[in-house]
Amino acid sequence: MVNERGGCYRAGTGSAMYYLWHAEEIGASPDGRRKGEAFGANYSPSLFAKLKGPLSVIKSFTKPDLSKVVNGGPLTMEFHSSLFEDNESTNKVADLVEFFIKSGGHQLQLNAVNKDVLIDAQKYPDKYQNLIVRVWGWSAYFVELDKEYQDHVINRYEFAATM
Amino acid sequence: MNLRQQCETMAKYIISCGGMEGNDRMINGIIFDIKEFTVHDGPGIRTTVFFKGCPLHCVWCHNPEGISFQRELLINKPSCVNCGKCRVGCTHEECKPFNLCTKICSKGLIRIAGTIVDSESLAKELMKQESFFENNRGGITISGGEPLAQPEFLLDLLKRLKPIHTAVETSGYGNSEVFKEAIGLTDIILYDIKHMDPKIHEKVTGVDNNLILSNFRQLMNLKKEFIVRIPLIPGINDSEKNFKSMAEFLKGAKGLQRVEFLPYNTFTGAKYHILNREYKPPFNEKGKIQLYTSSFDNYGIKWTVRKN
Repeated sequence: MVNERGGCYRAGTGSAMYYLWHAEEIGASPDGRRKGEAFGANYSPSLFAKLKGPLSVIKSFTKPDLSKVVNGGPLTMEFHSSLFEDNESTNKVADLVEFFIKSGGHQLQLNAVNKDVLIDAQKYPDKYQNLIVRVWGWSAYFVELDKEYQDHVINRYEFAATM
Repeated sequence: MNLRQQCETMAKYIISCGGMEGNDRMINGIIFDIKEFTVHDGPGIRTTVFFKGCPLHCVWCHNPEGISFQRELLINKPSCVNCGKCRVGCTHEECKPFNLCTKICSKGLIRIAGTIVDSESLAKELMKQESFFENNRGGITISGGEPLAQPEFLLDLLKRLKPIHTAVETSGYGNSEVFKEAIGLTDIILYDIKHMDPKIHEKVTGVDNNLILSNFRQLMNLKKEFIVRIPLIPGINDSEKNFKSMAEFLKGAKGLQRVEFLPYNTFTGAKYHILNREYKPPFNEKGKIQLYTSSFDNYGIKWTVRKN
């Protein structure tokens, strides 16, 4: 099959903005996504599946030989912003990045979760099954916290933003 | 298929085999979560396994689903839209004890805390991450609940996880022989000390501290690395007297790397609602936490305060 410029189609993992643009026209999918809802960006896991955690995601993502993939897209992962606040945990994030590259990954996008995401998670918990927030000397799934506590976490961000 | 579902499938398989397979006896345990990329549960990046069930009932417990040794239903009610689908009735074997379908919720608001799994399958699952833990980058932490409360399961799991770096996080309340064996099988111990006074200890945790302190003495005399963790609960254990006696007790411990103080945080009660329980702390949650660390400094004990 020849593409519109007379060349061949090449398989890639980068979805650019199409994970949103195609959301309207592609019907519901077996991962629990309804018509109109966004796809996972690029080659990232579905937003609607409960995952085992970052290490397993990286292992699955890098299983195929990505050096053969043209037009590669990044793996996007979100972490609570407190993970980037002290040297010890920042170094642990660096270890994670190193593991990704050594496993054959090519592009990793890390997000520190901000207030807007948390507000959205409060409204649409089904989309944020894997969002972990640090609460004390422990972490919890944000969507499982009582609303009062979710509000607390959100306010904490508001405070941090005005500092 | 996520890990929880995998564990459930394994559990069903084990039950169908009657828990026995030739001479190789299966050792079953109950866990309530596996969290990857935990960064405060020992050196490097860790995956933490939470054993379900604890002999202590601390009034400030932040993992209430870790107390009972039974499977429990967790329902996130505030987000429930009362669609009623979970009450229609289903034929899933695992839903039967709860009179509710635990799988149908389209918002994912219902789950069961507690997965029965055998040590071999669990070790196999955890070993999948072995490549990550090369070059001392981290390892597996066994937490809870109380790991020592499932002795056979714990010891067998630790044996199977070698050569991965392991940590055991414990209240110290467990059989002394089991604890000794666990020390031998793991690389680092994370040991909680809550209060030095046995009567107050019993009042706020449900058990006195004799066993905890005697197990600790056992640990002190060995060369095993360990970290002491002290939750600071306002008005409960943050008196000058308690700080002093804790420092006195810890001085001279050979393998002590550092003491980590964990100041109480008012988020502790956040998860009780999903268990349909009320969090009623018998102390002033917003009380100012005192930090009398001079005695620790006098004995040359390294300490840090964990930020929330």
